Amino acid sequence: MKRIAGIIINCPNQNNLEAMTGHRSIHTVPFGGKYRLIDFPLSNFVNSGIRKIGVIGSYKYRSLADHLGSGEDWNLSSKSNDLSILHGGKNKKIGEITRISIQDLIDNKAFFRKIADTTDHILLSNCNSLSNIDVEEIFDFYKEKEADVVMVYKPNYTSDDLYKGVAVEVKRNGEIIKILNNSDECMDHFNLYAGMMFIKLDILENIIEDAEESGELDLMDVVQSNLDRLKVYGFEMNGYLKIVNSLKSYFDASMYLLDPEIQRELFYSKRKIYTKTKDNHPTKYNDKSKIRNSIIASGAHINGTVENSIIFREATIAEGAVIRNSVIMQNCVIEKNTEIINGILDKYVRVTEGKVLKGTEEKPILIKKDSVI
Amino acid sequence: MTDTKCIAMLLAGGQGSRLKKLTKDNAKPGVMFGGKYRIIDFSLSNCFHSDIFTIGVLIQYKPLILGRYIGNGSSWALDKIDQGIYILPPYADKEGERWYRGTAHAVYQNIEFIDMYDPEYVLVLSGDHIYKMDYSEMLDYAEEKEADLTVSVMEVEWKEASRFGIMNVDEENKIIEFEEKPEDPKNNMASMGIYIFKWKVLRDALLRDAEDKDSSHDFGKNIIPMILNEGRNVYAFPFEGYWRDVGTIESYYEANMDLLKEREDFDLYSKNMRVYSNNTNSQPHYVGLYASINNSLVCDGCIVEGTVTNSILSYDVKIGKNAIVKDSIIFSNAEIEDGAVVERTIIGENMRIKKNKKIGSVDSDDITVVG
Repeated sequence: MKRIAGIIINCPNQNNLEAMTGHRSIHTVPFGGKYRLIDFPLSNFVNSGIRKIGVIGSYKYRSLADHLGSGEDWNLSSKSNDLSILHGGKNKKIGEITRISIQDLIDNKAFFRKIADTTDHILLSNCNSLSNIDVEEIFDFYKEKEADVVMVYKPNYTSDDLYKGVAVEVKRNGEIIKILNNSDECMDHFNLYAGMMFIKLDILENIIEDAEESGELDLMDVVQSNLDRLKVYGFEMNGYLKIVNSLKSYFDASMYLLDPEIQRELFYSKRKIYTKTKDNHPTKYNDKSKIRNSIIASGAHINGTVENSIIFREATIAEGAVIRNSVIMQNCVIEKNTEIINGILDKYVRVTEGKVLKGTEEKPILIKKDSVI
Repeated sequence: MTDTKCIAMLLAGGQGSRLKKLTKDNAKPGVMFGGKYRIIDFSLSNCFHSDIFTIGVLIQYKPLILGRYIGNGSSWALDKIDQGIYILPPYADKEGERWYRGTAHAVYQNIEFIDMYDPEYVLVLSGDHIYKMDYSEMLDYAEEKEADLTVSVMEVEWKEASRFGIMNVDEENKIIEFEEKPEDPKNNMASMGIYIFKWKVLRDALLRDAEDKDSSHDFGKNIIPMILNEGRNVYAFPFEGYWRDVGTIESYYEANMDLLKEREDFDLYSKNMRVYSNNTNSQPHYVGLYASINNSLVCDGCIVEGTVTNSILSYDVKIGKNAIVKDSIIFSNAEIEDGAVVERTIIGENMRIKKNKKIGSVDSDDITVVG
């Protein structure tokens, strides 16, 4: 048994997907036809054999609790109490951006007590990093370096939308010598922190204890200011990584899924991405459907034209509707003779007959959950 | 044990030899249907929706796929405390090995199991029918009629009637005569192979039937005539709606194709009595740049680069570029390579149709089966 527990953190003020995160925390933003963002880190944990997992929620709990249940769909057992949904999001508003909230860890001492006997190492992951990564490889690196902390990074990253990411400077031997706060200093060809970090449990517990005294808020700050005392290494990942922290990055990440290479890496790997299963019927196409270059989940009815789009479970596209470059979420109904271009339609949106919705690639149009247009 | 008014015994042990290659390595109830389903899903989902939570599944022929598929029953929400799905294979005891020698014998061999629950009623089901039915309505009817045995029946076309077990009833729907596949039917009310017995009556009949060396230990041939001849209260429960026995390649194929039609009597797509199944974790399907899909069902995990018309694709099917699939049923994980043409064909699980190969024809009377 690996002596690792995983914690998926919640950083509400760091990520803003506008109306999509209005009623749900970022964990459960729907993605890729049938997934939620949290499925990616959670599957990465599970695929590496981690069996003690805490998910830090926010005050917007319902969709998270509903999605995770007892964790069965991720092969987690309720008998052995594998999955815990933890307190979260009690951050004081201070204008500053907390990257890994220590308060959220302080508030969950019960979880640390629960895992104490079986855990020496903690894997902290953001809930919005899209990747399919072999965590065991990172753990081997962490052991080999006898590190206190290992931060996973994507090298040579150039981002068009990064505004709240974390960058690291790494020495040739892998040691991290600098953690950069924001994008001002590092727009091109930098090492993007992938939102995943191993840390020794005893070190983390010390940090938490000290923070209760000092009022330190951000674990990243603590690591940053102790780079000389702790053995902090960077693990270079080579696979696909996309951090979803804005509407634009969400839209781009969705469109990238249409790239067969990215699909292959995320979904056709031996390491499956798990999600909550549903008893939908297979997707039904009628004799008027025209479809190309799209991802379609089960339970949908496709009777119109769909191009370069992501269609979620149980969406209905009526005859004469035209959907291009768009994301149509679960249970949306797109009526006849409509046109949707560069749109993101949250769950249960109905677009009535004849309506036209057009965004641009730079600024996709977002329609709030339950809207009738 | 839990107080259980009615438990179900599901007959799933038959070979289903008329399904040919489809049952080469799989029992009939385990054969894929409608893309994501297996035939047994329909009966099991009906049980759940009818509040029947204890089900003995009688298996014998090639049970591996079916047994793995059923698992602990959680796919049909049937993993309950002290209730759920119990797989009941034939077994050996001090008197030797005993294969199930007939449908009634299979239930006879599991009297102990039923006695554990000591139910008032036992529902006997076949695992090879496609339909949605609320058995609790039939149970209410059985109670109201104080029936020892209730047989679910439906009207069939007169010309078809001689293929079925025909029930002749009085004006109260009391069955006065049962004719197995009559040449000259007096009636067109056919038995659907769905029975609700009073357990005391069935138990007694099974014990006596087991003693009868000439019996073929079959519900239709032996048990039902026996109970009728004793002048017991036997009623027909008229069912209206879609019901298909998918015991032959032709009927199996037609029932699949029925899913592509707009039907009033069978709506797989409605949330009413949704059909549950063991869901896989495949990604949503991807439709390529030059693909086209019309009048078809497509499951998760498929990659479609070619043309698919009037067809059903199960999980993880690959359709290559310029491949054409028409009027066909493709089982999970099969691959139709670039340029291949598949028409009016059933392609079994994990099969691969090589590049540019042509299989079947839309003009053929027969349905080709590759498995």
